[in-house]
Amino acid sequence: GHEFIIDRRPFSHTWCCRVMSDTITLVSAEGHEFIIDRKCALVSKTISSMLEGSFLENESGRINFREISTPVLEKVIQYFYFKVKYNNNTSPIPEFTIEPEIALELLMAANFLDT
Amino acid sequence: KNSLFPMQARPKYTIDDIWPGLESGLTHLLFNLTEGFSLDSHMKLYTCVYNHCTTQKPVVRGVATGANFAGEQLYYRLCNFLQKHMKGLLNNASSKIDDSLMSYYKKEWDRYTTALSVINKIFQYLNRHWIKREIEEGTKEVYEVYTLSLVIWKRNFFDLIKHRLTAVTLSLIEKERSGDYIDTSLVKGVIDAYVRLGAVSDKIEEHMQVYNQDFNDAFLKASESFYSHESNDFISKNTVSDYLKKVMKRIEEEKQRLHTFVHPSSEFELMTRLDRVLIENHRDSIWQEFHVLLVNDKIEDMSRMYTLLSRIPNGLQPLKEIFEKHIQASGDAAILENANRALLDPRLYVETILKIHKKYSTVVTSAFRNDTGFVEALDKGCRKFINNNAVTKEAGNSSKSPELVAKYCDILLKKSPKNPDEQEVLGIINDIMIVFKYIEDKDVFQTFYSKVLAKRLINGNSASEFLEGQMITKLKQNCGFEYTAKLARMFSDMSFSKELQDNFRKDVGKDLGVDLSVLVLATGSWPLSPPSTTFNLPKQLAACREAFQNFYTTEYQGRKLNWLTHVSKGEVRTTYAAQQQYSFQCSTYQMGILLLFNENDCLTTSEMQTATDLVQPVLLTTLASLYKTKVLNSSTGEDIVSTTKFTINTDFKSKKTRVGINVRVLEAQTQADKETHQGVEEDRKLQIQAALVRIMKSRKKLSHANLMTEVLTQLQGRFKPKVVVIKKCIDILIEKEYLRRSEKEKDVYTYVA
Repeated sequence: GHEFIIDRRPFSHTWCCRVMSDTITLVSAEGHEFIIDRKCALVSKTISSMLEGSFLENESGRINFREISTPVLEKVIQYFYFKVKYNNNTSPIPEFTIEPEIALELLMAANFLDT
Repeated sequence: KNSLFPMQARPKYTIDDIWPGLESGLTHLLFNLTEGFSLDSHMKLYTCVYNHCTTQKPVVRGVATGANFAGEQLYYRLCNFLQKHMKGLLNNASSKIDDSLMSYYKKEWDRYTTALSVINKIFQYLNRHWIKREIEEGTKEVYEVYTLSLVIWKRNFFDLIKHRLTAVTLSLIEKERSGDYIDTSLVKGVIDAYVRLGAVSDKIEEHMQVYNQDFNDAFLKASESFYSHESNDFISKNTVSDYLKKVMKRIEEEKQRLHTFVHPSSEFELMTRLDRVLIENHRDSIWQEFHVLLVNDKIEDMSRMYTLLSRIPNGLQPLKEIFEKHIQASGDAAILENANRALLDPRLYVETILKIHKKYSTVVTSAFRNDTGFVEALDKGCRKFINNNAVTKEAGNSSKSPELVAKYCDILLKKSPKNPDEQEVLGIINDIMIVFKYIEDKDVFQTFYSKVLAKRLINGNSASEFLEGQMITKLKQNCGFEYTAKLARMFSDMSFSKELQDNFRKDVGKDLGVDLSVLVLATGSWPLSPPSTTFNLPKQLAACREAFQNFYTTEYQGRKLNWLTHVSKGEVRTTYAAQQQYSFQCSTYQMGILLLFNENDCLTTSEMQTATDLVQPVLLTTLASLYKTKVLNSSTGEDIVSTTKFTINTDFKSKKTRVGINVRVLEAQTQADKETHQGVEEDRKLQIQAALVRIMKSRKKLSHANLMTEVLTQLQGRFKPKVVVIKKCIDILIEKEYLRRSEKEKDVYTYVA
């Protein structure tokens, strides 16, 4: 199981993860930093192709998404974890709810991220 | 606030807006990638492409088939960018020659392909949308970015320098073949590039096209030419043995080259051409050398020759023929050298054969890896010289061979201080079976063997029961149960006789005053004929005979005993000798004569004939043996006539107390052998006739040719019948009305029921 604790304080959202070592930091247009499992970030083909064969090895894995707003990015990340949890899982998959206000932006973000 | 919504007011993302930033990013990737490329930059460029593609109105041509994508302008800007880069490369390359051309090419290729793998990711949005749509609609000359980069490289750079590049690469390979050191990683890198350029095609079959057309063809030609020259030059200045060494080395080296820097797909074709140029084109010279190597026992050279000739079609056939002929010639020569002695010395004869067989058997194992074709050649060659050689010619009879082999077995199985121990003899017997396998006239062997076995058994001469049994077992394994059936019965007769004797001695024998032994042998199993002469048994022996006869016929009523006096023997003791008394081991006939002197001091030949009732030839032979062994004195010396007077030699002297005087005279032996051979011939005629009848009975009708073949096949396990003899037998059977010649068809026989 995986516990999501959403902390709505501005400028700092941190998911408590199982493993703290292999992580990536995704930064929204407003500057919110989301530190997430590398494995989950790789759900996005755009992110995964960027990360493979990275030429600056010592750079911390940190990507700025200047065009994606915080709530949308947050939802996208939720999806990453959702996908990883239920991928190849035989137990019944619950619905992934999407609030209608962000639906269109979420679609564009998914397109952008090739997710 | 930036957003992904296309409707809201946003900065423009026309091609001219984004291109400068994009171009500088691409330039950085192409030329300065070693300085690094951050995730941030990656994201920026990616976003550029994305924004352009999502905000611009697509160019609509013809019928709109659903959503159209923007991106065409961007695509062609990218094309131009890359083409400009190619011009620069081409320019720089034009002044470069030899290695430097290759180094330049490789360096630029590596840099280019690395950069383009990143650029491909940056343009991924374009790949997924506009490009994908264009490809689906069949637009020509639109490719995914990475593939596009290869197409541009090929058309604008590679195709314009490929001839130079290939030539330089080939000359580098030639240098390496000539013994110089080269940068193999450079060659590998360039060749790799050829291979990867082929991947522009969708079809997998075409992936190696660039490699094959622009490199491989030239490579194979150059290799062929190089090795053609080298081999012609080398073979004209060196021995064939050295040439073979060189070829082995060259082939190994080429294999290595293929693994190190040439593409493995070339292997088959290259090796085939090398085989042709290095081996096949020179095969005549190589074949010619084979005989020399054979004669000089050059195992290593022959092994090399075998390995190399195995690689070309029909390369080994001439070798097999030469090998077979050589073995036959060697065997013939070896026997010819010893022919005179070997004719009379079975051991020498067989050992000479075995030496040759062993020698060439070793060659087959060590030089030809037990190749079945060469094993066959060995067999054929041995078969020829074992059955037809100087000894058989001198004897005028191919059956001399099995006769000598049988006699050698006899020598080994007889008790003798000259023979080695049991295990060693067993080893020799195993060797003899090798020779036996090749003997064609196995029936002759059987006949002689049973004769010498009979003598051994009767004279109690066998060295070892174990060895006798082993011999029978091996013959049975080779020829089947029937072949050894009679021999086996001889052994059982012996043990039965022993039992009989024990009972006799317990019963009557102890009262005879003579130590009597009797062997009762079943007539059909033993190669013994009845005596050729009458004989008056001395009275002591007559009493014994009667006693045993009574004993036997009481036990086995209805059985008749024929006494084989001519192979019987005994022992007599002297009372007249000066210093000491002797015991003479003699034949019964000799005994008959000697016992006469108990009542007479001097006897003539004709007197002895009357007394013993022996026929003239037997009497003369017996007297000759008594004279030769100095037991009797002859008034006429060696030439015995009817008036010759004989007396006991009282001055007889010998170192041994027990003296064997039952010596066989040589003429008798030779005569006996001749008769044996004649017997075999007669026997064979019957075998042939039996086979003919069997075959015709089952086939009813058969042509002459087929009948001959069938007969030969049926009898081949026992002997090789002569065609002339078979024809005679057919005539005999026609006379006897078993067969008939067909009136309607020529050369066809029918069975007469």
